[in-house]
Amino acid sequence: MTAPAAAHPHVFIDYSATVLCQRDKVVGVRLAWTFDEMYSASLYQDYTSHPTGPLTPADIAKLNKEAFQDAAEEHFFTDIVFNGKALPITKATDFSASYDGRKMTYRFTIPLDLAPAPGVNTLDVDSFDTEFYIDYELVKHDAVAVENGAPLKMVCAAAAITKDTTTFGPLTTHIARCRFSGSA
Amino acid sequence: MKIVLAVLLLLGIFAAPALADPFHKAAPSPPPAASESPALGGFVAWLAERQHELNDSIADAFRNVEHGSRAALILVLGLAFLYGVLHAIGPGHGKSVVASYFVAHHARWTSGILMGSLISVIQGASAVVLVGILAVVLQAKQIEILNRGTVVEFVSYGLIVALGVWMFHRAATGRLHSHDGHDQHAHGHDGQDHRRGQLDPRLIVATGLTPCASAIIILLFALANRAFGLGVIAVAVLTVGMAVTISTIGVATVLGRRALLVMIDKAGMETHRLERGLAIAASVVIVGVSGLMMFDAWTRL
Repeated sequence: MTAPAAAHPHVFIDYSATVLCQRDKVVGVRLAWTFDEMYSASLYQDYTSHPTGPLTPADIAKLNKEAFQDAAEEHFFTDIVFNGKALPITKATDFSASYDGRKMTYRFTIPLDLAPAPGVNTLDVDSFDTEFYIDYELVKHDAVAVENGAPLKMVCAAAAITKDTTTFGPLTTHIARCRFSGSA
Repeated sequence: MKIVLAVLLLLGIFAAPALADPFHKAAPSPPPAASESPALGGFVAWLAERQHELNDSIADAFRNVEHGSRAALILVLGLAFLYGVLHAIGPGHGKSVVASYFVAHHARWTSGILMGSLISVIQGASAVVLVGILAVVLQAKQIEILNRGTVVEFVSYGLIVALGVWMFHRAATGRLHSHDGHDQHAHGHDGQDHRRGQLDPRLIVATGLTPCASAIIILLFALANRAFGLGVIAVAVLTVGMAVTISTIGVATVLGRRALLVMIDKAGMETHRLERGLAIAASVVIVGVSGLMMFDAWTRL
């Protein structure tokens, strides 16, 4: 997924995020990206060997290798900020994809290993393209979830912030924002 | 000094809003005032969401046309038109070139419509040719074709920069070419009247050359659904929508320039120096904005 011609949004992605916890640590973020119908059709056309029908394991492997992993150069278009500090993102695992006849959805996990600091911790997660070739929109309902968040008393919700794009200047966007407590 | 202010005023009123991107393209560093950024950022996000909805609606209607629905065909065309109008508000599409051109040149308002329409039509045609050759003849992958557009984009902006430099040279040295160095006043007007209503076809072709990425996407979607013909029809309507937006900017600039000159004239000031200042400033804007777009395309090559 390189960033092609004319940098206004031409690819539209609805996304949701699930923060994964294990005991007293944050171990990852699972993201689901659903492409608009037109880009979905292009992906389907380019990376499957059949004209219709659901994706086969071979299609998914091909999408992962030839399309999705290219996004590693762009830190998978995902920003994760832990207690005010942006984390480097180099890896995405557990890739899977599905196609419902209209739209393509990618699911993958950004692995993390975050031990909370004493007191209140914050974790901001969002997918964003600074060139705004891709418009990421947090879904309207059930956008943010937590798995095994009880020991950390983790609470997550969507929050509106303003981020800078290279072409459009500041853009209002929605992110997943979590608060949780350290084992003081 | 007054002339400089007037030039800035006119450019500020007509060029800047016309561009939408170029607020930031032309002046990349200064962060906008915190109070106004959420409003603008919110508008851009809103515009993108509407495009997203339209994109999906066109796709849905498209499939229904294939099932033989005539209402769906009308829906596809209506949505494509709306998409064109909205989409052309975004960066690119030659709005800065159109606005700058009419800041620099005396023209009729009909020229604004003509220039906006020609650029849109060429942008649509360029997309049809690009997709036609790459996808239909060369069987290239869809996502590669989207990337290929960047090369054409780079060339297009390069040509515009060259024409902008030429416009600057002509505006800056205009008097030297004139027949009689003594009577500058008369010459300014002669030169202007001579060119009145004439558009520069080179500038129009160079600007239109950039294939509209939305047109490419619609054509690729049509191909994926084995309905290229319907895609071409949808793109034709899309270009009409874009023409509405770009022409509006052209006409507004023509009228704005005229109003400003009348105002200056009534105030008893000389207009020919203002006209020259406008021509110089506009050519600088063309070179600056297109240069940045060219650089932007180059980083994506």
